[in-house]
Amino acid sequence: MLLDEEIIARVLAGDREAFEILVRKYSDPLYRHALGMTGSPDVAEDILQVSFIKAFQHLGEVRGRFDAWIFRILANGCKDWLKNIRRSHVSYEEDDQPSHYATPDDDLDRGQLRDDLDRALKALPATLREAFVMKHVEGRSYEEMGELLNTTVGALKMRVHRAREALQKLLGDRYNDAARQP
Amino acid sequence: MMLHDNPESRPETGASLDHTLRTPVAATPQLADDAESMAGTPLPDAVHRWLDGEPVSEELLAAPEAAPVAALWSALGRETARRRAVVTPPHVAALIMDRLETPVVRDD
Repeated sequence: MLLDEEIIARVLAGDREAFEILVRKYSDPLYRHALGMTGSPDVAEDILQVSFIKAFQHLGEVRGRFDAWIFRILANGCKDWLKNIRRSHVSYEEDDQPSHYATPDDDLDRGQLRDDLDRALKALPATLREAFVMKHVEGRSYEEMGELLNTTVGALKMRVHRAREALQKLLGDRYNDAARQP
Repeated sequence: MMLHDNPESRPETGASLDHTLRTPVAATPQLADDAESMAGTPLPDAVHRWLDGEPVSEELLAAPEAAPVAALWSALGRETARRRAVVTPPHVAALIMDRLETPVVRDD
């Protein structure tokens, strides 16, 4: 298997099709991040496309790991989208559409938890949502998160803990009360 | 027994979520954009450590103040594990390749 540096060298030498190797290699984790941050498959797809196109256009500027570099392009795209949608008066957090993670065989309770998690995540500030999504949806270690976000492990732990406590506040009353029922 | 942060293997902690309310969380409040100013509900330290993948005894998670919280996070763990399996729609790679236009040059 070719190293990313070798693929990049081929693209920079004029082999545009080689870029598809990078697209296929990194699309899934990037798409999951965008979907976790925006909650919308269409928006996630758009941000993913724009991120890869930007990466292609600036490929000569890559220093270090390609996957970390394109992650930062995509993560910034997600945060910009969140800023814009909150500035506009779109009823984003009032969205009561079913979760985009739904599948036909979901039972009501599981589907309800999924919808509630979507709504609660949308209520989090971008930095906390990002930390939660990276830790709990993407399953990354704090060390890996630190490399991607250029932040310390301690700061990221604090963000993840705050995100959990915010979600606990948003979901806890409802679900903990239910869990206490005999 | 030691527990680790593997959502697939997170144990039930005695409390069940089967009887959750069936109406959506209504009018979720928009929390402040500033993460510093946001207040939450503190979680027991054992739950944070468990969710961070540190070894935690089952007794600590079964304590009265931790059990309902751990049950919620077990359910959330199953949901986030499902989300971890999501893949990019198959048409996206071709769309990206079709939209590439500008030739690139190394700038060093």
